[in-house]
Amino acid sequence: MAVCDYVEQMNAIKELLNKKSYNSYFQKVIGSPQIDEDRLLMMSISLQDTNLTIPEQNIYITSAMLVQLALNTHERVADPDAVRQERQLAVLAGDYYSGMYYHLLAYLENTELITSLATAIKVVNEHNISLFQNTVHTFEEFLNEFKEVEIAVIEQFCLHFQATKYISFFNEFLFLKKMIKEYEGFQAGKSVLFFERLKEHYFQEGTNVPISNLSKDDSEKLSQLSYNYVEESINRLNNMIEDLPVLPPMLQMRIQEVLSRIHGLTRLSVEEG
Amino acid sequence: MKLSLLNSNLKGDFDLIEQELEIAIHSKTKMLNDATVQLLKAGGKRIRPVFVLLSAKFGTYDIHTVKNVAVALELIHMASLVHDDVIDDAKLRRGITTINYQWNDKIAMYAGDYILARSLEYMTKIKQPIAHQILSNAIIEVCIGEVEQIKDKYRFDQTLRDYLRRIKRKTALLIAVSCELGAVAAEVDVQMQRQLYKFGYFIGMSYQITDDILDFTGSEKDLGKPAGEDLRQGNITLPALYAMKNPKLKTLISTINEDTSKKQMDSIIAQIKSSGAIEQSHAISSRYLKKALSILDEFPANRARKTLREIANFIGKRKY
Repeated sequence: MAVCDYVEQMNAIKELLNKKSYNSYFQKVIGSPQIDEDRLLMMSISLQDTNLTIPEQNIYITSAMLVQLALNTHERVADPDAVRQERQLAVLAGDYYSGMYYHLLAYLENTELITSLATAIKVVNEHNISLFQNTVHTFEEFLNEFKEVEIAVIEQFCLHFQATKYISFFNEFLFLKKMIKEYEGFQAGKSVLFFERLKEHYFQEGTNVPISNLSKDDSEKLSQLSYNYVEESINRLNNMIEDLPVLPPMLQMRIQEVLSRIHGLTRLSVEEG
Repeated sequence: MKLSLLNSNLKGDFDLIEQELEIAIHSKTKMLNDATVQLLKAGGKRIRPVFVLLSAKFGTYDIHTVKNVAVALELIHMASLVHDDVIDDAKLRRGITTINYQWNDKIAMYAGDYILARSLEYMTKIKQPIAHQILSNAIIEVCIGEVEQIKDKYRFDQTLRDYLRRIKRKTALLIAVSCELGAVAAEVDVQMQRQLYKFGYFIGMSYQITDDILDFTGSEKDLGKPAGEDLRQGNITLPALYAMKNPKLKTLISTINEDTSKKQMDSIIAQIKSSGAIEQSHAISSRYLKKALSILDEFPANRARKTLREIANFIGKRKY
């Protein structure tokens, strides 16, 4: 598919997604949901080898994106900066998007995809609670759950359409994307999950020290440790790119943007650490 | 609702539903398991599964098929309660600490979403597309109803129509589709599916109006919250709407806000109770109940019909 075709398809999906998620009161109080265009592109690429028509692809991608919107919107419920009504509406908007994914697929009579996406919702929420509860034993176990939360919806979507060749690659890409937010939080002195768990697993003492109060040495050490994980992920991503068919230029461009952003942040972290 | 109300021949099936609910909410994640089991143990009337099973009795009843609908409907109801508690910042539900209060809002959101996902996993064992179209429409309508409820809070100029539309979405719809989906799963003929839907709708309306009356007339012990709490939180229900037909009472009720003291609330509730609003509300509830019972007259005379009639009468008389 040519770049302009992807752009056209993504615009069509965004339009459909906006239409399906629209509610004037949500719009007024919490605004439009943020659409992750990378996920949209990933799902579009996954379906290229299937026999689905473009309109069919668009509606299936929209249903999976509604699931992702629901999960992301529910994360906003605990936003400390939100006023009560915004938090209340975040609960209902997330529920509404979930209902809308079910509704869309019910009318397409695709109960199997309803099940697959429900399984993704179940997995994400189980992992979210497990991550919150902090009962995993090793940092690698934590990392697996941390990544699974990001990939679960796309993974189930790809498995349903037997379009599995990109899953591992998407997994690394989404991890690196997530790490951008983690680094931004870390550098702002916020308590972000990845760095909190990294601190707990690698520092024998002083784990109660907030990230914002870490010593320069400890902060530098944490940056270096985190960079090791990021670097491993980048290596895996690059190896996969070599093994996969040529990626659409649009995705190649996004990969370069993400890598460049993460390099900038990790460099800044190590330098400032 | 007491199981003793129900035919003894359904007792085994209700036990099976209860066991299946336990299986459905089980998770290997301890905190999630603790939260959902706590919710399940808190009980509840299980009226949705009751209606699913009884409606299915009018068709080809296979408990191994119908149980999936019954479990799914109860789980959807449970998930909505968990999320409602976050919205209302509730501390207690059925006298037991809410998930949001015991843990936090985030855990409650995750738990609610997990339960909803499990519900859809069960529901998709039903292969008729119409079943999913019915349920998904209902879920969206329920959601819109919740949004309307937030929009209508402390809106003292709302009409009877606003109220009835709101309780339809809030309560009656899920009871109506419980009846309808039980019938769909048991392949009851389409005409009767519609009648069962209507029966559930009328019962649901009556049930919610009774609930709204009890908010004024019930004791704190029975309600698990202070009397008049709905009104203090800005939910304008039928007794308040009738009371506001009196201009003096309307002026008084319109002063209510979150900070209204218990003493002020007690005085307002006493005036609402003596205004005739409770009796007028009971009359509306009875009217819905009567409509439900008249639909039952059209159904074949069997044990399921008899039990549905008993349940309808129980709902009309319930005190908590």
